[in-house]
Amino acid sequence: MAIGRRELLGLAGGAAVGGALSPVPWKLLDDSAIWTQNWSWTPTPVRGPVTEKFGLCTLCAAGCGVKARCGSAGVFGVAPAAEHATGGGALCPVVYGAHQLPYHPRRLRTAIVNGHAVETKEAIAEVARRLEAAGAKAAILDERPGRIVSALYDRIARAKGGTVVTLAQVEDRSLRTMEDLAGMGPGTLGYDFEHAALILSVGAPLLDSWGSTGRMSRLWSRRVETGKPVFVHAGSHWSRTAQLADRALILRPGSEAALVAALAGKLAIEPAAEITGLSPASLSDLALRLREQAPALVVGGGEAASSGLPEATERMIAALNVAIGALGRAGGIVMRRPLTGAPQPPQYLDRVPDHSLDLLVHEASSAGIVAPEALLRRKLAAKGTLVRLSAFLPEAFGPNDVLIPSTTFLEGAEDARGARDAAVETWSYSDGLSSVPASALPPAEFAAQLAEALQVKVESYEELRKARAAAIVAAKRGHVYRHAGGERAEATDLEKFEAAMAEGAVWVDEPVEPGPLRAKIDAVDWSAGRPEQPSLIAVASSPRGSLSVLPAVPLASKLDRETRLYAVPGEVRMNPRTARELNLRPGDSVLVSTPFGETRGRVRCDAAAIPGQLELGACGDGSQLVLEAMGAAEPGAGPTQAAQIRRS
Amino acid sequence: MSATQKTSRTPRRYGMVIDLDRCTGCGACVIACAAENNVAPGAARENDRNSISLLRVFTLNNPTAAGRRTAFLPMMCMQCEHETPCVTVCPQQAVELDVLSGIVEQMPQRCLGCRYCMTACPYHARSFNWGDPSWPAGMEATLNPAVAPRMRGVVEKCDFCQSRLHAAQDAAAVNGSLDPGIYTPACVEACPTQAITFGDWNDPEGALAKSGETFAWLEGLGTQPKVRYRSGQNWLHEMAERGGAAPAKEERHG
Amino acid sequence: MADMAWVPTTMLDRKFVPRGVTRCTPARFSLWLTPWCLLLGLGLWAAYLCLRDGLLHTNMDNRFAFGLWIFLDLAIIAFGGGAFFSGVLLYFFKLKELNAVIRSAVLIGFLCYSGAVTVLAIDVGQPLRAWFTFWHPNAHSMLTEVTFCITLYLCVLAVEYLPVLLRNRQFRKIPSFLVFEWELHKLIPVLAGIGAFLSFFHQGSLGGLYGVLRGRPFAFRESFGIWPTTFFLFVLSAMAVGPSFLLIMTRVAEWVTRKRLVLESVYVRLARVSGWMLTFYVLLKSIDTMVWLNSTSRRGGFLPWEYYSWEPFGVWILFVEIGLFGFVPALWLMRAGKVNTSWLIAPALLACAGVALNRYVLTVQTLSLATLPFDEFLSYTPSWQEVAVFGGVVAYGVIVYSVLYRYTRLFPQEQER
Repeated sequence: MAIGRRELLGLAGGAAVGGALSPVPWKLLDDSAIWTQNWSWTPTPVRGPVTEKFGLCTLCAAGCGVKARCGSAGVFGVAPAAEHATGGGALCPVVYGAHQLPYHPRRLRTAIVNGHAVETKEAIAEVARRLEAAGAKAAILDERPGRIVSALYDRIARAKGGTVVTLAQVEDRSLRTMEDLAGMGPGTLGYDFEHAALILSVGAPLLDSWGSTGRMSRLWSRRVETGKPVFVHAGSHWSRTAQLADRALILRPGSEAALVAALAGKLAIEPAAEITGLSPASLSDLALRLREQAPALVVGGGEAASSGLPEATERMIAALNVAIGALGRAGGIVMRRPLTGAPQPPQYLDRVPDHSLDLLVHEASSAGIVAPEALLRRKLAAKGTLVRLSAFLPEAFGPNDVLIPSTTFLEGAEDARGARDAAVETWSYSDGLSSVPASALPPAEFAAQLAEALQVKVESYEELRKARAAAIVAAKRGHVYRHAGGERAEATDLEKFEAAMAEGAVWVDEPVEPGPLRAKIDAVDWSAGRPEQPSLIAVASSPRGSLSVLPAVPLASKLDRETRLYAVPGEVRMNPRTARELNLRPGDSVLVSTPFGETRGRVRCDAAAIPGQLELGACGDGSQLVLEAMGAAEPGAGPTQAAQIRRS
Repeated sequence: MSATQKTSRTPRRYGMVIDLDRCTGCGACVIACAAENNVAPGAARENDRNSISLLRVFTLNNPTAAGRRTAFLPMMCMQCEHETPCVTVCPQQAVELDVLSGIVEQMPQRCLGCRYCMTACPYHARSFNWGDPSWPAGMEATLNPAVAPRMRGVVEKCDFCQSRLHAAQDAAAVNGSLDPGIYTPACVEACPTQAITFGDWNDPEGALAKSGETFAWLEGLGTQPKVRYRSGQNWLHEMAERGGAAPAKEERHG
Repeated sequence: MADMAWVPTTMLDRKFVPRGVTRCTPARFSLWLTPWCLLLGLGLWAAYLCLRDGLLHTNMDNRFAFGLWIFLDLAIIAFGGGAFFSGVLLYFFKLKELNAVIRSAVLIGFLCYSGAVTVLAIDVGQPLRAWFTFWHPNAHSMLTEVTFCITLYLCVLAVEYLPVLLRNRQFRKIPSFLVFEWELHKLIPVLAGIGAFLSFFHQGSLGGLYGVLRGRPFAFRESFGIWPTTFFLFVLSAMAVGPSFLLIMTRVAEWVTRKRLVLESVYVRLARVSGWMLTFYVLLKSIDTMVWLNSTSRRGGFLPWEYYSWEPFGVWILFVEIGLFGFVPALWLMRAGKVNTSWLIAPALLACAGVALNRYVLTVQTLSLATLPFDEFLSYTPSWQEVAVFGGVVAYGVIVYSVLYRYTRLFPQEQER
């Protein structure tokens, strides 16, 4: 048969029709659609049974209770532990993504000495050598004092003549001044916000990065129902707390002292009004309300991303509290019993003389504590060693630094003493819910190995924990809150106590009956200077728990870059009018300099920003430069800084 | 199935009342939502306009001198009840209003990625996967096993944590019931000030019915959103009653 | 050696060039095509990037979910509307002058539609699932209507154009092609009818896309039955601007080829039709705008002045669209025959600009305006990939048009100058 054009055409046509009637094209279509749903590069979650376990948030010292959802691949979700004494069924925003921290790309997987990767054993031996050599010029920086491991640090430091130090977080700052004036030891006072009728925050970030989120959140929520407490905020910029407060007074930067002096009646209203830029009427009204809306309470501390108010101002705030009767009163500043079995509280790092240390061992295993790099460095002598136990590679490290990989969120055994500002002490512990990576040392293990290398004899972590549990039970105080069933039990039986604690329960001390306390306020200097008025100020903020030497949790970009709820790292947010006055356009690269440092960023205009203010994001990468520029290493530098800006 | 078991049930109309006076804009709901729903951490290119944001919190500034200066407005899919704008426009039925739950369901496997639903949504509650979702190495271990990560090129949105609804349905089925009851979406669980109340609008005894006077945004459009708000602040009510946005004098040059 | 290589090409080229017309040398023709091919290559590269990595190569975002591509799609589909409308005029209203441009019109229609479909295939996030619309169609969606119509109409246009292609002298040597062409030719009026119907619905449903957006009060319009007014306005505007676009393209082809391709009377006819339709469209558009401003929008809680208080989209845009790009060209085009014909390209351009502006306003302004009272006005600038993909589609159109002009008789009245 001859094959001609007609036949070929017929074949083609027949093939087309036949093909369409066959399953082939339809199967192909179907398969292609299925393929688009199952790309190999889109990960598939590991299926399996899901359990809920209670653990402990270690991002800061407060140690809130978390409920972790665990699948066969590990923890996949975090929820608050309802009614937890510290967390109160609330957590900081970043905690909800903290279970991803163990997989952060900046996870430290090897020890580093002088810039070289070494075995962890070697690194610890090196630390031991340098610690021995430094003698009294060595210090261990314990970010979360009062833990079991703190006792180990205390033992090690004292055996070698060194000291243990800690950082004054924002909620510490006013309390420690008050403790000084009242002649009481560190950690003996707390705030009784729950019974207060009016809370005046002098620049304190009560509603964003303060203490335990749960406590403030419950208070805030209750306020909607009962109208109490009334939040009044007096600060030099429109912080989130100022924006949310029932009443906000925006002062001239640096004039907090004048405000406090006027409220205490030590400075006449008119000059105070002139210095602060407030109206005399609002000042006298506030002074009156502080006395009439009892119990009232004044809180200082400044922003978290700063070193806080000058010590002199803090002393005035303490004296004002005494003057309005807040000290020792329910709804004021109350005494709390030191945690049974806890070691001597450490001294504050910012009070250590500059360049006086040859070695600083920084236990940075919690990812959310503000530890300004510049503050740490300035305490070290030239060629001093900074040892860091950290789960992540820091942004920068010096040539003499030693880095030892640690555990992070929900990994390894940890315990927590509770929030610094709480009215009572709490204690809880957890053996960790995620597996510990081979390279990482939990703090207790680090301390044990260090003690061994130094040939300091210490008890094991377990022994110490048991001893503390026994001491608490023996003291017969407080109660144990168990999440399962939400029940409270007396802490009278050691076995039951330990069984409950192992499940994630929290022990809560009894409050001390409020009674009058005395403080030496005669020595307080009430002179309030007249600060110079900068035309431009810089302020920094970030969600609580994300402002630290360590990288932010990966999902934190949802809070700044993706929602603009917080200032975005790498951006300088300003009002369009300010930008016009400075002759800047959105997207311009700029250099912001303050008396303490400088940081780069891109201009972002936002009509919601306050004219004359430059808002800097201090979350994750680049936050150290922002902290430095904000004077976080300079004691009492104030919550805002005079700033200059230029194109770079 | 035994004869006593119910084979049908009263439809639920899940919804929310969000108390704006309680919200401090901390953003816990935003992160909890992203973690629950397997939203990948934002790539460096992602911002407030192109990231996957099933739930966002807007910052509202009080234009009047009276009252608080700022309020924070959590906004997710409003689960519109009437003429749901996104349901009617989808060419291939990838969006459906579930009659049993009142939830507007999005099926990423069905989605073509035409984004017509995104232009249709007055609340901008929908996100498109502009690229492949990606997690740093090893972080896949933190994925919620009950939620499938979405592929690139599809639209997604809040579905009131559908996987939790399914879990509630399963739990109910074990007890011989078809009614999942009131479950807890991730944002509700995470909110530290309990600003979000989740419930059933069909339940006259439920938490939503008891939440007092509420308002919705863009009510004039007539889509009957099932996420409603509460506030004692007048300026918020006034703002919500206004549609669209007239620019402040300062920003007329968009 | 180089010359030797040209010989067979030239010979082959000659064989395909229609009898009775002259064409430039293959070298010259290649030179003309080169930049367009480069642009097409760039477009293909950009399209490949978008298909490989996803649409993160574009500057579209969750708020600007439609961008340059959708706007230009709408515009070129409106311009391509000349194809169906010329068919209607020629086969149903017996305007025989249009025989002179009908092949070109159908080709332009085909190029516009196929180009638009190509861009859409890149614009959607999951092109492989495009057929889902046929499998799980949502009868309530305007986009379903669009998809069905555009697919079917593209087929119709291809069939409509096939006879022109088959009339090439080389193809005519094949007897079965000749028979096929002849049979097809008898079908053309029927096809034109089906095409007109499909295209009518397609143009309309594209307009309907916006008119049904209850959530976008700037675009939302009153409805007749299931169709919002934009449905009808899009149909009318496409009818009005189609002939104008044809006029422009023919004029441009004359300039490029330096030949007379059609008689002057054809221009006059196109212009008049365009003018009348435009007048009708602009009148209805004005009424629609008044109803929308005073009733529809207010009912949704939106005060119309709010839309126009954001720069750069002030009230001027409304006046430019309806006045400068509407009534002015309408009146001018209606006077065709009484005014200089060679100037008619100006009002035709204005009319096209008006319809493009209308599509721009509905796509871009709709998305840039805030619906939530606290929201910001948004702007968007397309990325190079978006521009390149679109440039590639234009290049595709130019290349195919040029090649078919060269090898088939697009203009029966073509004569040497």
